[in-house]
Amino acid sequence: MSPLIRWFHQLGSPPTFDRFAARWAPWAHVLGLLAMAVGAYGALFQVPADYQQGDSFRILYIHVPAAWMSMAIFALMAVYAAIALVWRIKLCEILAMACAPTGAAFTVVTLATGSIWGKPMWGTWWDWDPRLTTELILLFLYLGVMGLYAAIDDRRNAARAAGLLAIVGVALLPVIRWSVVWWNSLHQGQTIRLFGQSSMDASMLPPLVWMIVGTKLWFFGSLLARARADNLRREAGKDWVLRQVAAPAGAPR
Amino acid sequence: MLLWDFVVPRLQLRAALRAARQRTRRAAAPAPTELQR
Repeated sequence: MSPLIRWFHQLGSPPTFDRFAARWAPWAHVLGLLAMAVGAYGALFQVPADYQQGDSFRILYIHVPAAWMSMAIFALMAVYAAIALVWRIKLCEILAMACAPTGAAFTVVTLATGSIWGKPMWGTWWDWDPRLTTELILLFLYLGVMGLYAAIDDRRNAARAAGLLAIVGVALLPVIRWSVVWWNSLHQGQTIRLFGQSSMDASMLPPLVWMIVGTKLWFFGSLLARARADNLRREAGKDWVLRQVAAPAGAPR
Repeated sequence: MLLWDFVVPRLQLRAALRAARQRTRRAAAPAPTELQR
């Protein structure tokens, strides 16, 4: 077996995951904050103002990475949920459920920043436009997953039920993505492309890349921290947890 | 975001560790005598 696959299998064990998360969550958070700080500096002080929108366009440096994260996290949550349902890997249930709060937070940020930008640019805080409405439904789905997970006492049944909702909810992602193409939308079409020519000027892109990297790292840190807490709660009473809390701080576990 | 994604998971972690520690202490404590019961 290749070392990478073996490492992956080992990571599925709760004590190994606990060590991994304890080590990497703070790093991911710190590096994420640094990358976002660099991105925010570039967005506020280095990028020129837009010729039509002036400075108000700068909100896209928060809005766009948050919107991408809101969808990417949902997809990842569904992947974890599917793995958990098929192979009954407990850690994947934990990871799937740890995705939801951060994904919901990014969705709220997306809706809020879009609204703040919409008022001066569109003249309204909110419009029942296809993109905005589908993003709002995404928030409700996140809240549904979190609510369902919290509502059922048995943790494994709860994760299975909420995971199923996450898998079904994935059908919404292509609708959000192509809503601006399928319907006549107030929201602008695609301006930034990962592959091919973006219609945004290249001088405006570097801070966006920093923000995208920063939000990914921030999410990774939050995912590990949340999953670690849930993992410890579920494993309470197991030998490895008892050894861990009995060991003095700094002692090898 | 900072509060929701950084502080909340830390509080959850502390709560989980505290609960595990209490469980360890309860397990290590001598069984209550008939009088204590």
